[in-house]
Amino acid sequence: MDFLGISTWIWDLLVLQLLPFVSMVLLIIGVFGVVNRLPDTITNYAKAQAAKISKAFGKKR
Amino acid sequence: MLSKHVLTVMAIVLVACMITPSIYAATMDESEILVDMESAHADEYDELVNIAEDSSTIPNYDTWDPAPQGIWIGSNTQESHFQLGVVTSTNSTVTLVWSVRFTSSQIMSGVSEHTIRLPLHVDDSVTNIALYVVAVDLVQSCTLNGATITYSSGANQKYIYQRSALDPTDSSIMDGNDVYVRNNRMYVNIVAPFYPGQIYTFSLSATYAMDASPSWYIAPNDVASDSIINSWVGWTIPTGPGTDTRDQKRLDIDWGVSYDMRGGLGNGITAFTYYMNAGDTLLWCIWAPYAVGLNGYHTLTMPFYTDTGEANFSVEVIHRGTGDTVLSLPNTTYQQVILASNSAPENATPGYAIPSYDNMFIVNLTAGAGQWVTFYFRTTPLEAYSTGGNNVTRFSQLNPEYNFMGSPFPGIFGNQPEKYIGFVPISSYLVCPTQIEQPILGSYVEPVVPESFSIFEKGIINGLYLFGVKVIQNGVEFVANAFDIQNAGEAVVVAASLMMGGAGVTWWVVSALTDLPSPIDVYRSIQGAFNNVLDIVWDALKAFGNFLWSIGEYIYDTLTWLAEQIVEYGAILLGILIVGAALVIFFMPIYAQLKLWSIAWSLAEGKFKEAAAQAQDLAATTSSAVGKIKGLI
Repeated sequence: MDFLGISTWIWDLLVLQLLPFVSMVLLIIGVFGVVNRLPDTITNYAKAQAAKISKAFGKKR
Repeated sequence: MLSKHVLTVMAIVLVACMITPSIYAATMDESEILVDMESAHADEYDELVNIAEDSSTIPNYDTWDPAPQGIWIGSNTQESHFQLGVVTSTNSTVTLVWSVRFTSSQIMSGVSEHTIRLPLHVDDSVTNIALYVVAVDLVQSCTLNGATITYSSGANQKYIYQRSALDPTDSSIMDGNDVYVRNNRMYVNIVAPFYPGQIYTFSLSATYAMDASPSWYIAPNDVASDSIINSWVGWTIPTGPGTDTRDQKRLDIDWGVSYDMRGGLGNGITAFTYYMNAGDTLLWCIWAPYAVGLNGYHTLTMPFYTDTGEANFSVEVIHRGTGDTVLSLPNTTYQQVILASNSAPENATPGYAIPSYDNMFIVNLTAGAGQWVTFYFRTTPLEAYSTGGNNVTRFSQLNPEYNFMGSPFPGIFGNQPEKYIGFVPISSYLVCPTQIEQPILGSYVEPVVPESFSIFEKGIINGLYLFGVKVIQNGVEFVANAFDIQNAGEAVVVAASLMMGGAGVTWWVVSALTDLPSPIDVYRSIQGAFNNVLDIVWDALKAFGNFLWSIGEYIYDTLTWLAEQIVEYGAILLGILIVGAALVIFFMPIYAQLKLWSIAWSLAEGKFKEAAAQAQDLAATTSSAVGKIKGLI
């Protein structure tokens, strides 16, 4: 296999095979990270909103 | 951040990807599996070969033992071993016939000596082998009836080699004869003229003992690339007194024959050098119609070469028809040329003015001492004629006897000497009115010939004087006006005398043997006379033309070199560009994805400001990359 053959082989490996594979892995990791973070964020958001509401009603008493 | 760990891992993976293809490429050639499936009947000429894979193919050339010494002609790869499906009885005969036509690119202007490896598988069951070679005019030159060959009408066959008893048990190369058997293959050294463009038909007849299975070899391709793949095999197997079984086949295939062309042949003339021990003989036949019916001194003239210029020979000439010895001159030392003349005139020479079997003179030249001697030969369709059981021209050693060249024996075509082609030594045979003595080299003696002599006789004497000889007639020497050749004009006069005399030796032979100027010297003298101003002008123009030509040639060479460099290194440059583009297209999307997921994670964590900062960073990086690409473009 000459140099040009090796080059096209690298192209096939990186662009056509590794890039889709890595993209899929990143997609899984990314979605997992987002799903993992959302509950805490939503909880914190709810707590913060609840605290605001509670504080508002407390002032009225 | 996520990108820190992922980039490290990806870098390691990429390095691995860059190294792996190199290792893979280096080990690819070693990973092939060759399966050698040998046949149960295989031998060294017959095994499964893969023509597409050079490393597993044994060229047919390498199966010769010993290796060829000259120009080798044969099939490219090994031959296949083929066995005839019959069992022989005693004296069964199998005949193989094939034809070949060599080209001038293979044998130039001709071949005087070659070694042929016969296609027959020779083992203990083969009791005799006969080989015949004929020059023919037809590709389909013959047919077989059993093992008997019949030439077609119009084939115009001319025998050039005929040996009826080749010893199949002779395994020695150095025993002096021209046949040996190695690894069940017979090699035959043939000394005979072969010309390009001429069709030659070989017929080989093998005699077998009882209970044998004849076999031979088949070539995988057209031997000699002559487009003649026309081979016969026929067999005759005795089944009882007067009865036999016979069959024949013609196949569009070449038998496994190959040739080692060892000696050239320039315009029908060649030379052979042999070591002659005392007692070794050179025998040949001469048809001399110009000698018929003449009274006189039989005279043989023949050039030779030794390191010392001298050699001792005994000359004996016998008339084939009468058996009379017409010339006998024992143990005489000659210088560069044999000039043998008997001491007393013979009566009218017998014979006829047509070539016939009984009208030949047999010349027997016997060496008086051991030394290397070179003789010059020419081909001839006329004088290569048989002496009755003997070959036409023979170089015979006492122990063992060695037949210098094969040739026909009488009886095949009767009195048709034009049917034979062979070699004879360059010599002349004359019946002279005077006796010839030793040559005086380097001088030309103008003879004084009596007016009573005929023009023909005067010419003969003139021709002999050209050799610088002293002629004696009735005890009186014909020596007068001796002078050396000084210029070309005299040489032309001398040559005219030679032609008139019909000495049978061309001018260049004479020039080589004496101090006479050669034709080349004469040509140069004439050329010098015409070398005038026009020649000088012509040379100057030619030199200027050569200068212009050299400039154009230099430019052409430079452009050719540049094109070759582009072709050679363009592929490497293209490969580097492909690798660079692959790396960019691989890394940029991954980087972008990492950034996007980082933004998503920041959003998921509710860190909107951090997400916005990363988005700006991604936008800046993308803008920078696009700017660099624009810069490159």
